[in-house]
Amino acid sequence: MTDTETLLRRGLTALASDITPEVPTLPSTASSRARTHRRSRRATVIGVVVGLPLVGGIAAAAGVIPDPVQAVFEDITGWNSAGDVHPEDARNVATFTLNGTEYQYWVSESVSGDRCEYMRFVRDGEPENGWKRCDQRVDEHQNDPLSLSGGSGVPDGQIEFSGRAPSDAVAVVITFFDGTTLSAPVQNDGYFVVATNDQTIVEHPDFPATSIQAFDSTGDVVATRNY
Amino acid sequence: MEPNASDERLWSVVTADLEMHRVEDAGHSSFEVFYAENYVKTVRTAALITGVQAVAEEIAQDAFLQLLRSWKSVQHPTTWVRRATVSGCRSWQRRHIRERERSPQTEQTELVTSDPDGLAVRDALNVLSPRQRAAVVLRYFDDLSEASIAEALGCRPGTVKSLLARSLPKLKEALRD
Repeated sequence: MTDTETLLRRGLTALASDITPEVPTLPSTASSRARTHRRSRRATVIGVVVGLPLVGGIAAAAGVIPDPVQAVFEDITGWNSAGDVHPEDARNVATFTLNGTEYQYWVSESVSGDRCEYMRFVRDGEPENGWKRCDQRVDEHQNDPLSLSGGSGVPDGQIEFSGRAPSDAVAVVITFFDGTTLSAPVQNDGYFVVATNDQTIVEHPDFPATSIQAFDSTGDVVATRNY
Repeated sequence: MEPNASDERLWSVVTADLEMHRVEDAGHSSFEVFYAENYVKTVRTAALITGVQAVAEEIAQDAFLQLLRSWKSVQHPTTWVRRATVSGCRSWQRRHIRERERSPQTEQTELVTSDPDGLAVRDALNVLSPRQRAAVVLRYFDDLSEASIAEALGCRPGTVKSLLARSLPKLKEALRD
């Protein structure tokens, strides 16, 4: 470990030790109130929610308002790493449905290889924003023939995996830490998306995949990547 | 590339209609216990990422509120809350950048400490981009692996490696000043 890393750890620990928030008390009934010496709006919200049946108002309290896809890309292409990606070039490159949740994988690429991606999921007809990111062509992993990422931000006991395979691949198989596997068809331009509700995978504390392989239509492996 | 027995097994998986089925194990402690044990740590992580304690408390409370909504289906709430917290920090950082552009004078209170190392690191973190800062905090405060950081940030492990590699020289320079 370098001196910088050592100092970082020490400094962050020192800073953190001076952050001493009071823990808002959670009441057990609706008639109780969240109690904290410095009562905050959200602490009250948590307290009320704990005491009430978990219906209706929770979604509103969480404030989840889906953006149209175009607006999402206009937002993320403002990031430094977006390069010359244009929001209007966004397209749906892959979809997957699990237990009524449709995962829509949207991508916008520039001719020079910069790329922005957005995972949108639709449940009961209601779209919600998943993860969004932009990568520039200079990033080393942009040249990987086979890529995979595990999706955060899916809040209902599912996890999605998405990425891109070589153009001649028709399917990918993801192998997990426990030896189980998950397959996905490769869709437009090599992109794929798949999801699982396997709780061992969903809640694994680390990135759960150990490898991914891409197959062509004859069953030959065209690319492999280990994690 | 020649297929081997293992590849053929995987290919048979592809051609089958694969959907994993497992028995859900819902054995974890109550939300109240988890909340009590993890709230402060979550606020600290969010505060180090955003640099503002009041904002961190709001983000942490939002994260726990969302966790409560999904509590029955979540088996590793620590990971879950971390994702939600980092996501909340990212949203706040984007809003904060826009607000600062509109009203440059509306700076919020920085973290306070009397520790010289803490002060140095607090100031040095300001040279990083929001994503770099988040990666550094998750690596050197939360002690997460690159894979776990990638999951929390919603990017690839290679991107985390790159974020950290670019952050350390900047921090080294800033800490020298």
